[in-house]
Amino acid sequence: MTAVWYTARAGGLLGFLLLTAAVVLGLTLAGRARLPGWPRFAVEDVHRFAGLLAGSFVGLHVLALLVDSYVPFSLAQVLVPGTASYRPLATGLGVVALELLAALAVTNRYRKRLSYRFWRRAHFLNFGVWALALVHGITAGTDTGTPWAAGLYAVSAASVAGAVVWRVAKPPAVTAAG
Amino acid sequence: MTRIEAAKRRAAGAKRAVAATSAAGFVAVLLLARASHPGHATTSHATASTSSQSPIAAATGTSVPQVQTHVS
Repeated sequence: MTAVWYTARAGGLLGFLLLTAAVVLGLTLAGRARLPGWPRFAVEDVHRFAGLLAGSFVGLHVLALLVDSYVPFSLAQVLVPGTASYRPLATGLGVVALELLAALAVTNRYRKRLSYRFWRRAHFLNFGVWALALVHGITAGTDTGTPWAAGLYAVSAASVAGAVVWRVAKPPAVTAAG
Repeated sequence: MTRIEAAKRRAAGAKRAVAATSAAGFVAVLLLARASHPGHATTSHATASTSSQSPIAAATGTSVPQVQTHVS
């Protein structure tokens, strides 16, 4: 049933786009951007929600791949990198990204029990997850060759690159301690 | 209404907008995916489209020989 296969493809792409939005919002937070009418807690709320929604669509992507018979994947193949018969390296990158994302979701869930230093360092892995997801989408995705998918990947990469440049170029905030 | 309440309402509205946009985007991408790579035969018996083969077959080279229908 190809409808499940379309669901897998659309779920994966939406998960990536929402992950991109979460990363850009995270960079905005890290850079302490001041948005009129948007205090930090409100931006954090939307950032968390985008991350959760990204995880939901990635979950849908994986579930659809397990159910799908057009491009069959076993549970072991979606859990162990490099074991899939379809483009093992490209799908393996997706598996690693998925497992890192799950690990980061656990650190977010138990954030208050972890030291801020550990949580923040772990949170940087989100860049790795995003980069792995981008390469996975481009190399494993059936739609990469289409203009609309290539455009979505290009806009996503440009958005994150732009936010990183802004974050790096922004002078550090001056604190009361100097 | 305090500024904190107003910000909370704004955040709730933004989350609703993100959820609605995601749902609409999902349907749009699903339809685009269906149009760009249907996953079933779409051409006549004389010619074969790449969309008629499973991606696994395409990736592993186990497909039947394809007839080139255009020159790029």
